[in-house]
Amino acid sequence: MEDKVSFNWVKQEFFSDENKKLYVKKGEVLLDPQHKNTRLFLVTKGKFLGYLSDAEIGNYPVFEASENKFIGVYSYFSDDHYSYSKVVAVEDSEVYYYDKVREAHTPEEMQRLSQFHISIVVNELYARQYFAKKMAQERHNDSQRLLKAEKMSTLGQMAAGVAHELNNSIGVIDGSMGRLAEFINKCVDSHGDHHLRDVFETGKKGQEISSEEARTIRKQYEKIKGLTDGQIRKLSKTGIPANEVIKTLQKDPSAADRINEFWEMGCTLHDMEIAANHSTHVVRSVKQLGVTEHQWSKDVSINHTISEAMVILKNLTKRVKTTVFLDEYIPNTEACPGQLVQVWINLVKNGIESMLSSQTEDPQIRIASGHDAKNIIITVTDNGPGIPEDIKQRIFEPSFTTKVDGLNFGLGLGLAVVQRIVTEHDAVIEVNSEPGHTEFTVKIPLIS
Amino acid sequence: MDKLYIICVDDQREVLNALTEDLEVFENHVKIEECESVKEAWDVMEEVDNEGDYVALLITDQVMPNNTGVDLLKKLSADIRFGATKTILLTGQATHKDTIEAINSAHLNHYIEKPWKKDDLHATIKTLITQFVLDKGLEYQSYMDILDQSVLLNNLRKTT
Repeated sequence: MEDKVSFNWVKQEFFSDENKKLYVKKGEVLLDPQHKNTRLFLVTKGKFLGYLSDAEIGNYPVFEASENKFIGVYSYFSDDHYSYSKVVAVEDSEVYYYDKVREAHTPEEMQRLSQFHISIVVNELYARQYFAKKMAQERHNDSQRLLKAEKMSTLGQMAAGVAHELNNSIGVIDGSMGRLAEFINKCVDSHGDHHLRDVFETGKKGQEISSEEARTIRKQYEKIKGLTDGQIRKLSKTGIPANEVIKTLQKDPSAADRINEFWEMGCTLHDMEIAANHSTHVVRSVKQLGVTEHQWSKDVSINHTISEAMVILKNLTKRVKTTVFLDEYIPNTEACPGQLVQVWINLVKNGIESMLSSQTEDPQIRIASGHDAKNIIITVTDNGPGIPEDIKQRIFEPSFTTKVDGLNFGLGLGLAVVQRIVTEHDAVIEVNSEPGHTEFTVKIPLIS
Repeated sequence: MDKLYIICVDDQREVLNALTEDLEVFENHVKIEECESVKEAWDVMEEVDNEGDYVALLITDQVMPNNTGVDLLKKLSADIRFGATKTILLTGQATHKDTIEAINSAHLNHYIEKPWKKDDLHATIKTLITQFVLDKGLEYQSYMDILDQSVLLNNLRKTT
C-alpha cells in the first residue's frame, strides 16, 4: 500500500478531475485572505507567488509555487479556512483542486487520504523551509552589496573632498611654474651665449641619460684636468656629447659650472612640470570618483578625446615608443568627452607604467581608433609583461592595484574609474593579455 | 686621502636629481654615486670596494621594481666588506613591517621620510659620516669640513 501514496497516485486520485480544473490568467488572484478557502490546489502549469501585505512596506513575497506544488495548504488545514496570504498567478497557469467539503469516501479511501495529507504537510514544510532559506540568503547578499556600495560612496566623497582641496593648490603651483618657466625662458633667450641657451633647452627635455650610462660617460671627463668630482658627475648626465663639452672647456676652463647650472635649470623645470602634471592627473582621477554629473554632448569626436589625452600624457609617452593611429572616418557620437579623456589616459598610463616598472625591453604603446557598422572601437596595446591570469578578473575592482608605489603610479583607482565611465557610455571594455602583448579594447556603440 | 663614497639609490630619476642636488655640499670631500636600481647600486659598491675605497654611506629608497631598499640593506649588512657602512632609508612608502625588518635584520642607522628637509638630511649625513670615519680609524682632519663636531669631540673625550 505504501507505494500507492506516491505523488503520482495523489495526483491521479485527487487532482485529475477535469471538472475541477481552473485556468488562472497572469495577474489573477487565486486565494485572498478575505475569502474562505476549503480547497487544496495543485499547480500543473505556470507559477504563483504568495504575498503578505504590510502597511509600511507593501506586498512582499513569502512563497512561490510552480508546477507540481500545492497551494492553499494552510487554509485547507486551518480551523477557520482563511488564507494568510494573497496568491497571485505570475504566469498564465492551470490548477486542479480538491475540495474538503465534497462527498464522503469509503473508509479505505479515507485512510489513504490521511496518508496523502501527511505527505502534503511534509512537502509543504520542506517548500517553506527552502523558501525561507532562499530569502534569508538574498537578504544577506543585498545587505552586503549595500554595505559595499555605501563604503565606496563614502570613500568617493571623501576622496573628492580631498581632491577639491588639493586641486586649488596644484592649480596655483602648475600655473606659477608655467609663468616662472616663461620668465626663465625669456632671461635665457636674452642671454648672449647661444651655446648656453642650447644647454638650457637640452635640460628642459629632462635627464635622458641613465645613471649607469652617466658612469661610462664620466670616464671621458675624468681625463680633463681641473674639473671637480661634482662638476664631472653633473656634466656626465646632461646628455650633451662629451666631445662638444670638452671643446668648450678647452677654450674656457671655467665654463663647467655654467653649463651645469643652465642644464640643471632646464632639468629642474622639466621635473617640476612632470610632478605638477602627475599631481593634476591624480587629483582629476580622484575627483571623478565623487562626481556623478558630467557634461554630455551629442556631437563628440572620439579622435579628439584621444588627442587630448595624448597631450596630457606627453611627458610619459616620451619614455616609450608611442604610436597613435586615428581612423578619420569615425562619425561623431553622443558621449562625455571629459570622461573619455580619462579612460584613454588611464589605459595608456597603465600600459606605460607597467612596462617601465618591469623594465620591458624596447617598450611600445599603441592607441588606435576604428569603427564598424555598430561600434567605435578603440584599442590600447602594449608589449609589457602582461596581466597574470589569476588577477585578470580583479583588475577593474576599485581597490585593486599591483602598483606598490602610490605616488609614482596613481592610486589604484585607474581601471575602476575606466570601468565606471565605460559602463555609463553603454560601452564595453575587454582585455586580452599575454606576456609581450596586452590589449584593452573599448567598444562604444554608435547612435543609430 | 682615502676616497669616501655616498651611494644614492632611487628608481625615480627626478627624485635622485633632487637628492644629489641637496648633497652637493659634501661633494668636495666625498664622492657621490647615483644609482637607479638595487643591482646597479650593488655593482657600484663592489667596484668602490675593489678600488680600495670606502662606501661610507648608503641612502636608499624602499619601493623600487625588482628589489626593494630593505633587500639591499640586508645584503649589505651581511657582507663583511661593508661592515662599517652607514645606512639611511629614505622613503615615503615603507610599511611598518619593512621598517622593522630594516632595523632588526639590516641594522638600519637612520630612517628619513619623504619629502625630506635639507637641513635634517645634512645633519644626519654629517653624524653618520663622522661615525664612519671614527669607526674606520681614518685620518679625520682631512674631512673636518663635513664632520659633526660634537660627535667628534665626544669621541675624543672618550679616547683620551
